[in-house]
Amino acid sequence: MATQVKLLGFWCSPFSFRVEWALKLKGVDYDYIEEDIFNKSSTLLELNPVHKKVPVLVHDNKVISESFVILEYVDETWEQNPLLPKDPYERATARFWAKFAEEKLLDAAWTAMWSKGETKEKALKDSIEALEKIEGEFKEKRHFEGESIGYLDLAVGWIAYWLPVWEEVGSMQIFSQEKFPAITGWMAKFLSHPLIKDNLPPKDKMHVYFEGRRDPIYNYFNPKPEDN
Amino acid sequence: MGEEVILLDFWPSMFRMRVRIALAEKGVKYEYRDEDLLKGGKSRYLLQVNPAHKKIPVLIHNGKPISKSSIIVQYINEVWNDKAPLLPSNPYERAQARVWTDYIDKKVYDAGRKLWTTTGEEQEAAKKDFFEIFKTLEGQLGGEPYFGEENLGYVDVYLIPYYCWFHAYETMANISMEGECPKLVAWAKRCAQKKSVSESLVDEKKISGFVLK
Repeated sequence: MATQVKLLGFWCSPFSFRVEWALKLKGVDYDYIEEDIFNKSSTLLELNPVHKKVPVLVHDNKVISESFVILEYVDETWEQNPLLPKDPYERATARFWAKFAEEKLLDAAWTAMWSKGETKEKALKDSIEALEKIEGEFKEKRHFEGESIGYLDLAVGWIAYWLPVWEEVGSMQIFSQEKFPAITGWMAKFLSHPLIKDNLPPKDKMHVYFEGRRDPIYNYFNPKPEDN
Repeated sequence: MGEEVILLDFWPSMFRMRVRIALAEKGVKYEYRDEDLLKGGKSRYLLQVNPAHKKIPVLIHNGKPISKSSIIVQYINEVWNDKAPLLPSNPYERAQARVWTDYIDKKVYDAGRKLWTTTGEEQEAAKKDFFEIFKTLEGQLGGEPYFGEENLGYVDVYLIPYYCWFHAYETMANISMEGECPKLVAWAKRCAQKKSVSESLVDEKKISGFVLK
């Protein structure tokens, strides 16, 4: 029986793209199924009843969710072009920075994009602090040298492409070339990799989409007094 | 073999308990150093080895620091791979174990915390949420003795430290863990019979005392 791989994703989700990049790097054929996250399909709800989120990978009827978990599954199932290093300490380091970027930078940058006032100020400050730590790591550890893209590149790839869009939509600045030279160098390399540059969502559409999300999300977390 | 393994942590931390259980399962000898977070100020040693996170637990293996309990436990599993495998060898089953530890990470701590930081209607909602989460986990156990099936696995090690917080949850929110999740409580007691677990769990009365302060 031929292997069947399906990926349920969303056209501008950095989490979906991580998985697509991994599958492409490994040369794995897959069927991509676009999911309308605002009108979730019964398929998605059946496959991921606990979190109801994309991306979801279905491999020969085995369902895996959570993008970092999917990355490791893909790496372990298709062993060509390994994503994680072999050495346990280096693996631990890659996993740590992936989680750090997710929990400390991505969440804060996202919040800074849609929020206002003090919330925004704090989220901005947190984002910059997190990015400074990542810059420190990139400078020191040289994970990102060499020709091959790995787990950590995929995990933080969104910084190269989604973050600038969020900065514009949120009228804020987190990244700058002068302040973050190591990340700047990495971004250029990452975005010019053949498998990445042809697999990115259209920027103009992303702007429209995130612009359209900013105020509804703000209003969701800050209901007007009459609604209480 | 000239291995140096140091664990830096704070005694009531349930994250540390995970690491202790994993080390015990693997039979690794280590030195434990307490970081009393309440005394204020983190030790210079902690800041030196873990500048990015400034958090505990930190495992230092031959001078190299690893932090975050999920990452530390996987590291321990990969380095000391001669006995007591904590993750299954099958990639799909490993993925499932990782999904559930991720779920525990995202849901359990906050849900537990809400039990004692809210009152009235908010607390009632918090209790409902809390039990929904634990019942979901209970459902995952199925008919197996452990989440790792025949033996303690990654998910068991990840979740079991919450057992010593059950008493605190019950006291603070006037709930009964056994009443709502009997299978899970049975699982917890089963785990606690293992030496690696019983020697790593903090006494529940000490936790309650700490929480009530």
